[in-house]
Amino acid sequence: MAGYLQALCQIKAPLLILLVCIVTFRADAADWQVSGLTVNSQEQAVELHIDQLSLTAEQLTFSDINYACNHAVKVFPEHGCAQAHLQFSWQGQTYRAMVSSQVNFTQKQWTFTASTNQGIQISWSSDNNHIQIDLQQMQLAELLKQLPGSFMPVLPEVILTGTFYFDLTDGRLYTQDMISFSELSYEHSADVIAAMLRGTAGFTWNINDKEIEYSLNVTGGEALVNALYVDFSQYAISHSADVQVLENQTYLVHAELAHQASFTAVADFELDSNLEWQQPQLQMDLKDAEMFNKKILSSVLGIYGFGNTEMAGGVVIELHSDQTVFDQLQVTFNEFYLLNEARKLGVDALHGVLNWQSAGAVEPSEIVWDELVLAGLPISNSQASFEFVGERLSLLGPHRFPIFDGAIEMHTFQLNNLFADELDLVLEADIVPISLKLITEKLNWPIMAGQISGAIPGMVKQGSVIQFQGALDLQVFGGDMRIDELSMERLFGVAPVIAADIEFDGFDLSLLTQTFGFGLITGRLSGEIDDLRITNWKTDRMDAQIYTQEAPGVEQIISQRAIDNISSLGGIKGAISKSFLRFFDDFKYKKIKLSCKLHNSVCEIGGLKNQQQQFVIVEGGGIPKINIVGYVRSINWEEFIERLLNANYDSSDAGSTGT
Amino acid sequence: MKKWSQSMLLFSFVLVTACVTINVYFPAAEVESAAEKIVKDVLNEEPVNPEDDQTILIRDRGVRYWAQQLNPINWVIPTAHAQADITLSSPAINELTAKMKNRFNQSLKTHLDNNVVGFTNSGLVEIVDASQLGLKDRQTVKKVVADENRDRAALYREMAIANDHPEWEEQIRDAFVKQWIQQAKPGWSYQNQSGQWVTK
Repeated sequence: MAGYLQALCQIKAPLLILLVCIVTFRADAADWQVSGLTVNSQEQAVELHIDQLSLTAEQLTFSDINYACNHAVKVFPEHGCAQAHLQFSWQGQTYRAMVSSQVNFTQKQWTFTASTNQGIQISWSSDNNHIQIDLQQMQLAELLKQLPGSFMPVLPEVILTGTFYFDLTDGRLYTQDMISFSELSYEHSADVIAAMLRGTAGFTWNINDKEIEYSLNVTGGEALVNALYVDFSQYAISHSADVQVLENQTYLVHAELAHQASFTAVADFELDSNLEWQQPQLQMDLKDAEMFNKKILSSVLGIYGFGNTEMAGGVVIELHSDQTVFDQLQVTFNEFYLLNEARKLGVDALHGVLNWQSAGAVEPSEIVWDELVLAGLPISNSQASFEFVGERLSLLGPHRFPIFDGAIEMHTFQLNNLFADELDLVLEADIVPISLKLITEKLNWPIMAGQISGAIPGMVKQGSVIQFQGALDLQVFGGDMRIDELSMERLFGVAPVIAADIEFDGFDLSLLTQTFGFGLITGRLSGEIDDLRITNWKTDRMDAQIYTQEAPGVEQIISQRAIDNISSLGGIKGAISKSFLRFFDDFKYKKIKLSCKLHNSVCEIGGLKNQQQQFVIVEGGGIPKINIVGYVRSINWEEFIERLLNANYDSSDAGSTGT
Repeated sequence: MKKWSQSMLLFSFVLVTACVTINVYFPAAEVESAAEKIVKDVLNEEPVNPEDDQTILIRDRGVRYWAQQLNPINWVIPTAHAQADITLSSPAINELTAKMKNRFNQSLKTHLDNNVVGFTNSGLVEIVDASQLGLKDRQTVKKVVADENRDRAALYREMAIANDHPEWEEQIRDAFVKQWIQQAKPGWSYQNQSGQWVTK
């Protein structure tokens, strides 16, 4: 006997003494305390009243117990009543039930079945040491109103159907088989809502040890948590948790969440009395990123402007904290794939570990990929070792990132203030020659010959604008190009912009013209493109002029085809090839100049000897002397580019001279 | 004496004609007019009648403008304003407004009509009350709002840049705030200056 029996009865009838004896006997199995017992047996009915009945130490106390059987039945030594009325109070709540009872006091056997009008049926027999509670379409809120107050905010509306048990020996409330629940709805705020969830649940609530374990299989309904939406009929989730109530109304929680095919998540943390977590640890194993993305993540990414992102492979995320905010992160990639075509962003076969810590020493991170695509440019199979602490990410040692047939060689790379509005990058990097043909092909630009190489300056990021600090010097088309004031805005966002001032000098025109299949022009080309602004990968604005410059030992020759093609930009076909001059393959020229001030899709075009209605594009320099004169000073940029890009000009049609 | 008088007259004339005040200013009226056109285009509204336009113009010009007009000094000393030719289109602006217009017709209008979404006092849109929507639709409207706001922020910036004055972005945004609210249909929600949601 765990405790002792103390029965305090106000004797109002002789029969009561016998009943007290029975109670004393039963007390061998558990602690009982009864006070205020009154039994009233009449010819037509039996009534029993107990002021207070305490079970299992002080955990369960019932008061104002009234039992009434409206039949002339015996009370002792046997009692049976098919339909008795029972009423009692428990923790301020009054309960009423219809009771079917059969008691043999001498043989210590009894069977009680109580049914409430709230859908609860309670069965207790002397053969079992537990009380069986059957729920039929029972509202959880009704059932659990007596839970400690801090649980109340997370109590949802739900209807329960099933059986659970109350173990009288250890004070456990538990289910043996999963019970079903439906219409589980809960609204914490406009952004945290669960609606009409359904599924099965099981639990063990150890009242004495103040511990509850439960598990849920949610197979229907939907939930919204900020940007996250889940339709559980499409994506069934299982959840289990073990909650221990500690001193000072704090809770120790171990929780798991899983979708059978795509992920498991495990969390351990303490909840304080304000339900704020302490020392959280979280591990999420994303086994099938494709399914997780399709069902869950893709709609969230859509809100952040990265809709239609494809994903596959596996990722394991571990988060730790010694306080309330996560201060350690580890992400392990396993054959991870991501692609967002609209944002020109992707990675294929990513493996490795990323370690982050808010401060102090951190394990180095190392990742390797088959292909990484940034702003449309693919970085081939390579690896990166880096250290990621707080808002600083630094590459460890020099790195070489292959791009097409060349590479970017990083000598120093350090990102500071990574999560701030203003970010800065300390960078020392060179471009090892990359073929322009491959770059322009990839970007769907006109195919260009030659190579690009040079040094990359550092950069800062302010808001959505990334500004390079210093000029980018490149060697291209046999000459030099300086890209100054280079900035990128909303690079992975809506209408991405690249802006720069460009100067170039000594471009080999023969290389350049071969690029466009334009017809050979030899010479050296220089120029400036000021206020260049490329929006959505198309030229939006610029103030540009390009012109040839004489160079020692360099002939300035323009082919018949090039002249035809320049003329045809003005809509004139076969300017040379249809005239007697077609017998000349090429011509000498003195100077070529073309300028374009592009604004609002209109190019204010000019060249040499600009006049109100005309300008010279090509000034001839020999015999026969060919000048190409333009007469239209404003042209539609889109049309101009269209003609330039389709410069495989058909010379079969007849045409007139002039441009 | 006559020669002196003529000289003085000539001098005065030269003096008066030489005093040219050049005010380089933010072209509020022009920008507002540009904003009005773009908002009208996005909201797919027919042009309002010219009388209303004039009323708006007079009201918006403010006390300072009329004081300047009534100043006698300005009758004899001409004022030269920098010509304000506000650019309404560029590839970026065109694309952004096309997207916004498409979004308005496909989804945003319904949300505005139902007061799920309203115009904020910072030129953006925000969810006012989504309680009438199912949870899936609430997520969808979050996306609509986020997409719209990204486009609007980009539009204000691109308008400033297209007009060679990136520093005008905030003032352009203010002009749009006024227009979004002015052209909101009766029954739509918008945020007043103190941040409260009101129904037009």
